[in-house]
Amino acid sequence: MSVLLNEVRKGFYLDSVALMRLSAELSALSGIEEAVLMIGTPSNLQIMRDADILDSAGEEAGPNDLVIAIRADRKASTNRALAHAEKAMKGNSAAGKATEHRARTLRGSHASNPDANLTLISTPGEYAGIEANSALDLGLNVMIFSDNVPLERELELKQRARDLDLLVMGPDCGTAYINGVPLAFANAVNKGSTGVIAASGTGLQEFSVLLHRAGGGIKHGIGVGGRDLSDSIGGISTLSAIDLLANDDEVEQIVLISKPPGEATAKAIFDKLAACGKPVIACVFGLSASQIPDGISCTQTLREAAELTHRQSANAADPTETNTTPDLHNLASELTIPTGAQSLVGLYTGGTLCTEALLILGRAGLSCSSNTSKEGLDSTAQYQLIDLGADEYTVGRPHPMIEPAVRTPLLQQAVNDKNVAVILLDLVLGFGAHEDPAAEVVSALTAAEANKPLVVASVCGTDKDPQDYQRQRAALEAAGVIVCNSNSEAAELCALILEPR
Amino acid sequence: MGHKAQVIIAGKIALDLLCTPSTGIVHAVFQRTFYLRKTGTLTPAPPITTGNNARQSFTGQPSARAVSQPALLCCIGQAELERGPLNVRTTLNDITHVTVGDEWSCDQQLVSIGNIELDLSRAKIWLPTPLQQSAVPDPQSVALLARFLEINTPQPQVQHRINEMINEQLINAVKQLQQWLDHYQNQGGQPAIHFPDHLLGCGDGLTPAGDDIVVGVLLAMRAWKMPALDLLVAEVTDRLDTTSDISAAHLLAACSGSGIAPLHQLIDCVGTRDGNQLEYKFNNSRHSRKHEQIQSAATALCSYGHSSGYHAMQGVLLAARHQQLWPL
Repeated sequence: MSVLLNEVRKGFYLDSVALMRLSAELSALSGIEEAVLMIGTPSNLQIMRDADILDSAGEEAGPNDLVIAIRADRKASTNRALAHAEKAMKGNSAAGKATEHRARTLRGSHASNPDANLTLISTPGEYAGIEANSALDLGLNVMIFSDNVPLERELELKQRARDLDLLVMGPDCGTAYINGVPLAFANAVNKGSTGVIAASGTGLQEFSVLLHRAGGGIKHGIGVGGRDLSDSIGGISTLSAIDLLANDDEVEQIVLISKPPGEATAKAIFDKLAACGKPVIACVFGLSASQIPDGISCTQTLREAAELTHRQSANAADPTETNTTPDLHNLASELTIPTGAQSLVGLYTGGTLCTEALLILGRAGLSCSSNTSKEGLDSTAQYQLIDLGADEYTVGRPHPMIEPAVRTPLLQQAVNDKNVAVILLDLVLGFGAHEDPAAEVVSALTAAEANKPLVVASVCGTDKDPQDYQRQRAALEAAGVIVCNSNSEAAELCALILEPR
Repeated sequence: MGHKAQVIIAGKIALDLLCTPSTGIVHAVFQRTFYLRKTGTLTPAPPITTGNNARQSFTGQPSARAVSQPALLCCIGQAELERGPLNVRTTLNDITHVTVGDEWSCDQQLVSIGNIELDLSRAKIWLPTPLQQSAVPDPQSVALLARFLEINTPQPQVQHRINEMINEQLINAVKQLQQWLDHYQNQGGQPAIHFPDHLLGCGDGLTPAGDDIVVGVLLAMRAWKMPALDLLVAEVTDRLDTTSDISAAHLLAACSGSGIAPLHQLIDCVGTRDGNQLEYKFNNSRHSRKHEQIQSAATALCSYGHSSGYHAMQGVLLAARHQQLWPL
């Protein structure tokens, strides 16, 4: 027999995000069957009445009141949930009571931190250019986290920065390391002697993580933005970054991670890299070794790039983690896919990881449809890879790295689809990412029917990340997920599982 | 020690409220904004006229119930606050010492709220961008908007049956609103169908989804000069006590022709500027640019609130489809 409790907070408002977050938190508590927080409009009260979660206390609510309705297995559970709600609401109303100084403007912030030489800009794209220009006026290097910055504005900013001998990272630069310090969405990795230039995002994260696990570390990871290597921008930031890394005595070797550059830009970039005086490794998705000049080492995957970087390092340390590389052929031969199932569904939170998997599977003869490709996603294709972090999936809702529940409906659909043989996933850990992304995957899988597809995953994270790589990995493995040491290994395993036997 | 700040830009309704000598209390406090309530009651504001754009006048008469409607509100926020009729963007860098129930007063362009002083003397006034007289929704833009809404349906954080029930009620209420509008056309201005009672106040956010939809419908109908607007305004003002004061204030602003800036931008994009359908049909490059603008405006609107922008966009689509069925 379940117990119902209504609590009415008179004249109490919470914003929509706080209301829904709290509803979700209460619903996840043990013993809770249903938990709802809604304003007490007649329309909402009618819905609650129809749902049989409105008691006499709730009936008294008016349109300016907040109704907390909880149904649970016993009274103790309702009381515990109510206490949780009240604590959260108190915290919300008292949020930010501390009176630490917060500058109102970039200029004010610079005045209180005159030694700073870098500013991170995260505003709506239409304003980012204005702020970036102000930062350049102040002699600051710029990291633009914002996306949707117009191309012409990006070009103008980068040209101006070049003239001022400053660097613009981004736009849409989600990850960077400067002097070993992670910025924005980055993993906790060892500081080392490697300088990386990447569009920025999960490509840089995966490389940093794999290098860290191998025993290496990052000195600088410069995110130049996804359009920098196009001929429209001409690689302005990449060229500046090469100069910076070449002139830093602590940088031993330089790694370039990118999609194929524009034709004219590629020549300028590769010429400069070849002449920089340091060993260079290029992992340019879609380009083969023959398309890269002599003197630059070419790798096809981020894992190969990390391994080669570590091997070439003069100060190579022992690996920080000891997950042995499995024999993928043996592993694949031991796995059984559901009878009659032939499809592959990849549900990615990291765009570069999705692209890497697409290329690996393509090389193995599995032609995948993906929203990361020029052709776009064909939802009827046998092999599909979806980047859930792409704009079309993130407008008006959180990025799946921040809120992994965004992936859950698609994951549940794939798990229960009799045609799906293998599901390929990534989990991205690190600063800014969700505190426990494995829990959401595990929850979706444990609710699945028997004879479910094989689930292959990789976890982009380290032992130093707030989420703890080994704990995340163990949680997935306990739920039957085959966890590979890298995204490329996971994609290769999927290719071996699906190849004709 | 007091906090002094400048008002950078404020919506006309908010500025009218603050500029006249007035008093009131802090109505609600959120993480980055707070609402001021003016002591007393209000009646719907007159329609807002912008620049050279003489808008269709609001002829719906407020009912007797409108007299006891909630006090007028305005929203005080920091530099990132969206431009809107009730919104006051300030240089305040800290609102954590503002508490619900704090008294405020305004005198000689200085608003005092506890130990905060807001200087209005250099405030700019925000008004929606004027629309051209002949604006009507372009069929291809409407199709694009529908596709955008389909792809970007907000996902609830928890799948529970209340969400499903809210959605079901919203779908039914929106259908009834469509029928209500259609009957208006068929019956020469007298809808035979009852206005959906459960649309306003329906939803689990701060501004219920049903209210957000109606805001979108109201603004789009005014922009496209749709004849049922007056009656819709009358129906909405008659039901303001079925939603929260904050949402009612936004609905009232929409009744007078004003909503947040990205919503106006979207409506502006969806409406053709010159009414020359042939030019749009055969000038592909222009068409492509316009569709990019719609995509961009829809994306910006979708980022507003948890799902308020999305639902307001649904309202715009509803009005656009009705306008296409019943062109002027």
